[in-house]
Parts: sequence; C-alpha cells; structure tokens
Amino acid sequence: MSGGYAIALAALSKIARRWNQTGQKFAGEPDIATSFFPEHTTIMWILIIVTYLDVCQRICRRMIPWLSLQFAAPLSTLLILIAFTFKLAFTSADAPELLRDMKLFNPLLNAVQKFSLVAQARAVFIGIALGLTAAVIVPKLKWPQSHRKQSAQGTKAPLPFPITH
Amino acid sequence: MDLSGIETTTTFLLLHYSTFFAFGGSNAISSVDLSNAYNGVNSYNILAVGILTFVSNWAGPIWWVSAARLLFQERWRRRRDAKGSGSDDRTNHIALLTLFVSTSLLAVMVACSMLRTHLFIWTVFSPKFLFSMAWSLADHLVVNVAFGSLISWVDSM
Repeated sequence: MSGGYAIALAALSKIARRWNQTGQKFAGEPDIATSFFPEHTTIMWILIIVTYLDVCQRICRRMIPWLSLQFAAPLSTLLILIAFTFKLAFTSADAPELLRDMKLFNPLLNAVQKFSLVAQARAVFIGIALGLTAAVIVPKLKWPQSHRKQSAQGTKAPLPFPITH
Repeated sequence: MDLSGIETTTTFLLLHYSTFFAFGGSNAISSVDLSNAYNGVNSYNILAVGILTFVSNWAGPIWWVSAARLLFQERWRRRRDAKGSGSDDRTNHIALLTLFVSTSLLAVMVACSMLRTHLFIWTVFSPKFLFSMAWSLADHLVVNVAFGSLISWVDSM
C-alpha cells in the first residue's frame, strides 16, 4: 500500500511541477497551464467544473448541522454558480480563445451580460463572506467545543449529526 | 501516517512554499500575477489592489494555512488528547516557521549588505529582497501568525 502512495505522490509532484514552468532553467519550457490547456479547452473546463463542484459539496456538508439539506444544497449551489459565472465572464473578457469550443456556456454568459465584471466580483465576495459565516462561524457559535462531550470521532465533521428536515 | 508535531509543521512548511512556486510564482518581479488584482475594484485603490494582488499570488500558501489546521486535528484525533499537546504543537509550529523565515531573511540581508556594490544588485538582489519582505511581513506575520491564530481560535471555540 505504501508503494502505491509513493507512486501516486511522485506522479502528482511531477504534474505539480509541470503546471507552471518557472525558474531560471525551465522558464520557457512548455507547461500545462499555457500549452496543454489552450489546446484542450474541454479538459480544462471539465477540471474547473469538478473543482467548483467539490468546493460546493464541502460547503454544503458544513452547513448541514444547522440548516437542513433542502436549504443548504441550494444555497451552496447558488454561491458556486455565481462564482463560476464570474469566472466564465472574466475568461470571455480576458481570454476568449479559451471558450471557443464551449458553446454550452453561451446562454449563461448572455444572461449575465448586463452585469459588469466589477459587480459580479463583488457579488462573489459577498457570497463568500456569507458562506463563511454560514459554514464556519454559525456552527461554532451554536455548538461550542466546551459543551460537546469529548469524543474520539473528531470535533468538526458534520456527518455524525443527523440530517434534519 | 503517524506524524509528530514537528513533522507536521515541516510538511506544512515544504508544501507552503511548493504551492507558491507551483502556481507560477518565482523570485522574479515579472512573475507577479496581476490578473486577479482588480476583481471588484473600479479604480486604483492601493489597499484593495494590494491585498488582492497578494492574496491571488499567495493563494496556495494561504490555503495551506487552513489545511495545516486539518493536519493537526487529525493528529490530535489519532492521539486522543486534544488539549494537552495542542498548545505545544501550536507553539512549536509558530516557532519553527519564525525560525525558518527569519534565517532566510537574515541571509538575504547579509548578502545584500555585503554585495551592495555587486553588478547584480538591482537585477537579482533587490527583487529577492522585495520577495523576502513579502514573505516575512505579509506571509509570515499576517498569514501564518495572525490568520493561523484566528483559524485556531475559531476552531477551538
């Protein structure tokens, strides 16, 4: 099992080093961010969407102890949708060649055309502040450490709490 | 993997610096990425743009500060005595990080002082000195010490 870990770690570290080539010797070498992704924009957007969905489910799980699932899921999805829309809008303004094969996102882009990038970014920041409050601050205020019995299971995982309706 | 407190801190330190370079940072001023520096900012506002520039370039290291907290939590959960070694681990963590950053800062300052008439003083030494300022003042004091203490305070609430 430790051999598998070592191989995975080696592969991941190779990928991490190749993501952005910096340094005196390798600065001009082709790297993932500037030569692979512009060629294969579909893979890039799939990875971006997977990352955003991962963050979404982490936020949702953290809110579940005090909000039931039917409120936590739409709220976290809304936050991620706003953030992803801002990313799309910024990319279409900054580097439209990365979106040339992704006609799928055009309806979303057209829908938010009338909002400026500054307004969208501020919406994302406000959403993140609210999400931070809802996911981290409120659970800590509602269930402070001193009142919870010392369990070996850990003190912050939301899974032991029942999902209420 | 059963890591001791110092080993956890060392893991964090290595990955803290690695993610900075993995995301495209280097010791050259030209690699400072300004693409996210004006998110939500209408015109030049030195505080907002400065903070956004720093946060967008140090995004990996800042993430690792909260991930280090998770590493410590897992270690304490495995050891089953959360309070006893917790403050020791936290103190050792800050101490080791301060040692690392102050030693590298000392080395850079000595090099810049002794080689102040060197040919490369503007092309190599002063960018390195500026980055050392960013690492020691902004990253160490604000992110590692202040933000890290805020995280551990919220986590222990």
